[in-house]
Amino acid sequence: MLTHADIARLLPHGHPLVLVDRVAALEPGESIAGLKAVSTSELCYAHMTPGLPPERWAYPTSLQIESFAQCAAILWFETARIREVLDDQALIALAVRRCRFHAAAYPGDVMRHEARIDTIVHDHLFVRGETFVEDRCIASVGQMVAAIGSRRTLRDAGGTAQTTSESEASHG
Amino acid sequence: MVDRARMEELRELVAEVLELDPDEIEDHADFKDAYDVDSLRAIEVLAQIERRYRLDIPQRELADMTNLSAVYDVVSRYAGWPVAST
Amino acid sequence: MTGGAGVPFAAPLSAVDRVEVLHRDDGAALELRAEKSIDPGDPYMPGHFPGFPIYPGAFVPETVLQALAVAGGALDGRVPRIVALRELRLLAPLLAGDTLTCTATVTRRDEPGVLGVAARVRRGDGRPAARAELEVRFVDDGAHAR
Repeated sequence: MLTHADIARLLPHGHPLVLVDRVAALEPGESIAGLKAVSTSELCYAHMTPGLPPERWAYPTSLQIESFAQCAAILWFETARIREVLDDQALIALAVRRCRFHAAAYPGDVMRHEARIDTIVHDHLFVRGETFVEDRCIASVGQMVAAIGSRRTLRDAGGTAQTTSESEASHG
Repeated sequence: MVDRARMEELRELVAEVLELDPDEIEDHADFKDAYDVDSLRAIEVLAQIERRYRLDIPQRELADMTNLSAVYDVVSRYAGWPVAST
Repeated sequence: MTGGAGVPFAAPLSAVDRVEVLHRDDGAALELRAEKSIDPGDPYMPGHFPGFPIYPGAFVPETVLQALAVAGGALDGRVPRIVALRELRLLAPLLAGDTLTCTATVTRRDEPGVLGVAARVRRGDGRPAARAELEVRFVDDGAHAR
């Protein structure tokens, strides 16, 4: 099973935007369960002042989406490996659709993102899934779409890009 | 002679992907101009067609699939349906 | 920019520099314009990506949310929370040094307390960078349930 060291090696993201702590389950080509612990020591809480009510510590939805997306990316990288895809590929985020956020995660919670591949077609990856805290489903992701392209296209790409290259992510 | 049943199937399929009513999809209305279909939506339409009819249609055909009638033309070639008369 | 200093709730960074209310129609619709300059020194940016800063697509909803929060004056202890993301479409990269402009239209939804927000984001060169359709609820303090 992938360790946090493997995750750091796989994702082109660097600190402090590596938002997957552990892979709990992985079936290349199928699904992944990735964990991310929420902690008060994270940057998103740096500006919080004493006296704010607890609701204000809800983990930002934007970071929750990014965390889920990184789990999906790890699933893709492992899928790509078994398909012996070129090492020079990039994942370019295109769309996120039909998501509902039922409840928030708070410091002390561990988010469990369960992502499943819907299909990979015409170099486009379609995934869906849910996010749990313990046994509560706090969010459902109807669809995330990423295009699979060469790293070369990174500069002209839309939104967030992630690569299968395991070299240091210096995009020169 | 177009297979009208197939044409209507395609209309429904396209409508579903675009989240529109089938009634809104006209035979010759340009996807991009009339329905704001971008490259991602086009891929999704293509993927749905391939899944529905168990076809493999190369991505390069997308360039010609600019309206519903044109979609029919392309799909009919791969699926062996009657070809539309111009 | 110091963290999410502009808003009194957890946030990855300050996702808006300036918010302008273009049109306010009491009880019905609201139109906002927000700007954000992509600063590689902002929180989280060093990680996205090391040596090649790009505004994360996931931060586009954050810009929309914070624009709403700032325009709404983080009203009386009620802060907005995204409850649904109908669509986030990413069209072009937002690179360090660029400035994004977000225009958002806010309307009431049938469900009480829920607002619909339709946002378009353009880059400094005018090219569309993203669009987002989301639903927001203003959460009352004290709603926290464990």
